[in-house]
Amino acid sequence: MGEVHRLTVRPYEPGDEEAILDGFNFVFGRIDPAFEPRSLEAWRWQYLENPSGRRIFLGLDEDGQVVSQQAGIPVRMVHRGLRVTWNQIVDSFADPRYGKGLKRHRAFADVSKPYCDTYGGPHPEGDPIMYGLPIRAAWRMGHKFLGYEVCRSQTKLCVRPETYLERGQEGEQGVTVEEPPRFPAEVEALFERVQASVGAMAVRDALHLNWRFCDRPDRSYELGLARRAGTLIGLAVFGAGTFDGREDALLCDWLVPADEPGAGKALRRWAATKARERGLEFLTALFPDTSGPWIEFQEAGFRVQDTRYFTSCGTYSQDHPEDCSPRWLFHHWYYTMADFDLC
Amino acid sequence: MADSLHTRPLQAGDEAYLPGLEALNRPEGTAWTPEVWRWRQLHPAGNRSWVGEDEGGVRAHFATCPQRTWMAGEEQFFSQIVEAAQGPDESPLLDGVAEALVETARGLLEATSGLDGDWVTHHVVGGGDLRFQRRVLQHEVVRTPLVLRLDLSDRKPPPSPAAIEECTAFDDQARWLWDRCVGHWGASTIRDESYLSWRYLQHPNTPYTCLGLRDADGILRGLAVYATLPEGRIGHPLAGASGATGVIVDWMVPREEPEVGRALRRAAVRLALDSGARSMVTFFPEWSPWFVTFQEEDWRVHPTDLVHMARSHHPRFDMFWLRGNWWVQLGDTSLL
Repeated sequence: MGEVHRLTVRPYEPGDEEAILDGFNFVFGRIDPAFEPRSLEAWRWQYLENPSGRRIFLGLDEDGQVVSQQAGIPVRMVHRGLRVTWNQIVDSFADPRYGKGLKRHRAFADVSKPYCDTYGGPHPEGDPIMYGLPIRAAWRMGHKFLGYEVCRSQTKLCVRPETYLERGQEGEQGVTVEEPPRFPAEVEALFERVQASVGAMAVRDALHLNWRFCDRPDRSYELGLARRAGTLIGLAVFGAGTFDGREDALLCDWLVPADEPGAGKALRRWAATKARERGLEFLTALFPDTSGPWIEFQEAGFRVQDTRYFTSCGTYSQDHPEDCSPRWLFHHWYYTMADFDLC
Repeated sequence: MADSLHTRPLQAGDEAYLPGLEALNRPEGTAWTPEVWRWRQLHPAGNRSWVGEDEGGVRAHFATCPQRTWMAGEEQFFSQIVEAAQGPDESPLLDGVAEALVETARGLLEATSGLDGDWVTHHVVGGGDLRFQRRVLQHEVVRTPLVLRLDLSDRKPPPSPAAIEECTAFDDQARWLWDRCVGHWGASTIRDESYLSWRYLQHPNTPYTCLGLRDADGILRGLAVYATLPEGRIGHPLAGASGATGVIVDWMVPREEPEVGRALRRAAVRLALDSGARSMVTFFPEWSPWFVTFQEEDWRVHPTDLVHMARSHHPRFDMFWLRGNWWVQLGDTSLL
C-alpha cells in the first residue's frame, strides 16, 4: 500500500480496532453533543460480525494513529431481481488533530479514493451503489470525493401514540402479533413476497435480521411478527432512540406485503402500544415517499415531518447506469430506518 | 466552443428567432408565446436573456428571471432559470443539450451570478438525467419536492367566509403582510405590490385569483393565490389523476394566525369546486407549520417527479441551509 504525505493507507487489519475507535470516538464526540463513545464490542458487531462482510480503509500516521477512515457496511440486496451487494457508508472521518483545511481534506481523500477504487464497481466484482444519510460535513466530503448525489430530501412519518390509539379504527380480526426473541427462517419467504414488486431492497432473511437486531450489543429492539392462521404475513421491529435530534419511539423495520393490509394494521397498533408504554411523544417511521407504505401510513394517521437528511448515493457501475442513477433509486428503492445506521 | 458561435445578451431583433427554438425546461404542454415573452420583459427586477449565434442566426437562448430576495437579513438577488432553448437540429452534447446552449448558459451565468451578482441560481426540473444541471450549471439538489393533494371527489363546498375578497390590485399592505411572515423565513422572494401585481395580476396566460382576507379595519391579514390547471394537462407535474386540478400557487399567512389560514383554505377549496376541479394541490417547504396544518385538514403528501436544483455562490448558504430556510412556493417557479 502506498505512503502519501506520511500517511500509510491500507485496508483494515486485525488489531486496528482500538486505534480506529480512538479516532472515531474523538471525532464524533466533537461533532455530536449526544454522542456516546462506541465500545469495542459494538464495533466488532458492526464490522467483524456482519454476515455480509466489511469495508474499511484507514489512513495512519507514522505513530500508527488512525487519522482518517472510509468505512461501509456491505448490504446484500436484490436489485432488479439480481442478488448484489451495496455499500452503506458509515463512520467516515478525518481527525482534525492531524491537520485542518486542505491537509484534513487530503487525509480523507487519501482513504476515500482507494476505498472506492477497491470496493466500488459493477456486480459481481464491486458494489455498484454506495449510499447513506450523511450529515452536512459528511455530505460535503462524500460529494467531493465519492461522487455522492442526492437521491431524495428525506422526510419521516410520525404519529402521537395516544392520538393513534384513540382513533381505534385500526385492528384486524384474525391477525395476531407475536414477539419472538429471534427471527425464524420463514421470514425469507415473506421477504420474497415483498421484493417481487420492488425494484431494489436489502435482503431481509434471518441471517441478516438476527445480526441487525438481535445480536447488536449496544441497543435493544422488540420484534413483532404478524400471523394469520399461523402463516407469517408481516414483520416490524420496534426500538427507542434519538433520531433526527429527537427521542422517539422508532418503527425501525417494516416488511408487509401490499396485499396484507391486515398485517399492517395489527403491526402499527402493536408499535403504537409499545410507544405509549414507553411514554414517548412520537412513533416515527422512515420510508421512501414513492413506496407503498407512504400513503397507507398517512391514511392511518401518521403525518409527514421534515428531517435534516438527504438520502444520498454514489453510483459505481457503468453497466446499467440507468438502474443505478439517483432518479431510478428515487422511484424504485425500498428502505426503512433499518437500512441506515441511525437506529 | 464551436469557432463560429458567439454568445451575448439578447438584442432587439433576436425575438424573431425565439419561436423556432425548442425549449428543454418548460412543463408539459407549455408553449413559447410572445405574450409570455413580453410579460417577462416587464418583470419589476428586470430580466437576463442571452443568445448564442453564428452566421446562420440564433442557435440557443438562455434566460433567467431575477428575484429580489430577503436572505439572512438583507436584500440579495436570486435568479430562476426560465428559458433554456436550442435549435431543433442541434446535435446533443450532454443530456440532450447542444453545445450552443451549454455555452450560452455559461456566458449568462458567468456574467450575472456570484457574490457580486445573483447569489443563488435555481430552477425546478422534471426528474430525468440531470447531468446538464449538475455538470454545466453546477446545480445541486435542494429538495425533491413533495406536494400536498386534496381529493375533492366527495367533498361538499364549504361555506364561503364573508371576509374573503378577490384582490384585483395590490398596495403597500402586500409588503406589510409579507413583512409579518418573513421573520420565520431565512430567505424569500420579496412579495410586495410590484412583484405580486406582475406575477399574478398581469400574467397573460394563466388567470390567477388572489384571495385576500381583511379584518374589520381593512388590513390585509392573509393572501392565497389560486389557479385552475385545466383537465387534459396529463403529464403536467401538478395535475391530479383525472379532471381539472385546483392549485394554491402562493400562500402568505402569518403562522400565528391559523384562523386566517383556515378561512383562506376554505375559500380556495370552494373556488376549486366551483371551477370543476376534482383535486387540489399545493406546495410548502416541509419545515413550514402549514405543511403539517394542511395534513390535518385531509391533504396528503405525495411525491413528484420534480427536482429543485440550485447553485449557491455563498459557502455559508449551501443546499442544507437553503432546504431548511428558503420559503419557496409554486409561484416562485415556472410550473404554472
